[in-house]
Amino acid sequence: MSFNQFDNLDEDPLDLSFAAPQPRKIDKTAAQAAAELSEQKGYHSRRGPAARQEVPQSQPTPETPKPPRNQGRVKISDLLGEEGKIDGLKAQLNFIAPADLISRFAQTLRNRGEPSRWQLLEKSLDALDREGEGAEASGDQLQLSPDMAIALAHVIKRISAEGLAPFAADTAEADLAYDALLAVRRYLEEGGVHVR
Amino acid sequence: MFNITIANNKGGSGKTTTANLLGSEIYASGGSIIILEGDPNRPHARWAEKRGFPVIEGPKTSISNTEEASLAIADAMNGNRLLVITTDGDEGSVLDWIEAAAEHCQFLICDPEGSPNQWLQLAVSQADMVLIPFAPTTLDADQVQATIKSLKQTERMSGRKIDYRVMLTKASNGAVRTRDENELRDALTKNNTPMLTVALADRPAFRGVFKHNKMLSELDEADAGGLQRARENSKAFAAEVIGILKTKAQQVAA
Ligand SMILES: Nc1ncnc2c1ncn2[C@@H]1O[C@H](COP(=O)(O)OP(=O)(O)OP(=O)(O)O)[C@@H](O)[C@H]1O
Ligand SMILES: [Mg+2]
Repeated sequence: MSFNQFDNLDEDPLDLSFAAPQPRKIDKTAAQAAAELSEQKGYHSRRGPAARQEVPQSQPTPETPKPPRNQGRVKISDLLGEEGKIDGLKAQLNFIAPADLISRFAQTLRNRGEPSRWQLLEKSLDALDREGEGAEASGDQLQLSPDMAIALAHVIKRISAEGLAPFAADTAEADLAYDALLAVRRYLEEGGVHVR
Repeated sequence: MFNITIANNKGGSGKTTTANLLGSEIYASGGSIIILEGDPNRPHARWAEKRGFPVIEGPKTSISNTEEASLAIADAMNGNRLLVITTDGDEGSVLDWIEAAAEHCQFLICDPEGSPNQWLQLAVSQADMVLIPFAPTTLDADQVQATIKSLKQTERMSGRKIDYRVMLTKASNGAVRTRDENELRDALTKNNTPMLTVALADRPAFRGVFKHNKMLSELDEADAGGLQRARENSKAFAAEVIGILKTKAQQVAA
């Protein structure tokens, strides 16, 4: 099989005439800022000393958000970070507990004849729904009550122990949801809810 | 030259596939393209070798400055319009490659490996546009937010504006959308998160490019079904990205 550069030219090509190869220096200030930020965040350096640019010693205040110690009341916007304000209770809920996954999880527990954990979660979700209606009306961000946080923690614990493969549609979904749930777990723990 | 960097702290979000599709569309439109890859698994390099495009193995090509990088690129491209440069995640060389690439292609696509790292931060700091792909059926959202947050931090520290777009990949194709997906889209829209309107659907043909080491335009129906719609989708995606860059170019010129 041989290819040449005239193969597969699009009959209705995109207009690329605005772009041309042209010498362009990198933006050193930006590179330096990026290197500093990586340093602050402790991003690994695969090959010894980092970027060749000299990184000055000045240390701007790190902006790492500290999760509030709030006896288990968890604000979803905290969980999602500064940019994470999400309107709508359902949308917020979906971020922390993807409906499809949770319902497969519940079904699995039911099939095994051990619905108690699920019922706890379900009750908490109902309570949350009621609580949430008020919050939504007043435009607040949803907060998890301690009960809800604990119920969620149980699900997470269970999932951490067994992996998500039995509950998720495919391994990619399982991987992603697992990571996210672990992030929630870390957050809950930092907020004082322990998942043991 | 325009630098498009694909970023998401989350692994497996579709970065490499997105980079390949965009690169292939540019190529098919007659453009010149360099893909700079940070992933030590070198998916682009393997694809390019099998497809018959030149590859520079960064770790084996000892360059110590931009001039040497530029010579290496000229040598490797040798009239080709698509080149892959692998770096094995080595952030020490990424800035040299980026600066050198400017002279040799219209578009540079930087595709990092899927975890927060310095390579990614450096590429982002030089980007004309950062694309943040993520799959909607997951809880990827907090990673999107984390990615945006570090973009903003770099922006603040450097005073250089970073233009970014969040985009959906592996989205349900067309008529049927999951509730999660709708809610995610709504949430991001309400948040004023800059988003591409075109989402890349979850299509076998998009997996097929790496499976068969071809460009999307070279796959045939035996490789993957639904080719026509996949091609339309990929083209619409690339057209949107290129359109945004074109507008920027016109604004700069004005
Ligand atoms: N639009 C899509 N349709 C179907 N499959 C897709 C699509 N995008 C990505 N995939 C598949 O999802 C998986 C992960 O995609 P990809 O390698 O592009 O992600 P990535 O973000 O580059 O991952 P990493 O973080 O490991 O570099 C691959 O198997 C790929 O084929
Ligand atoms: Mg990748």
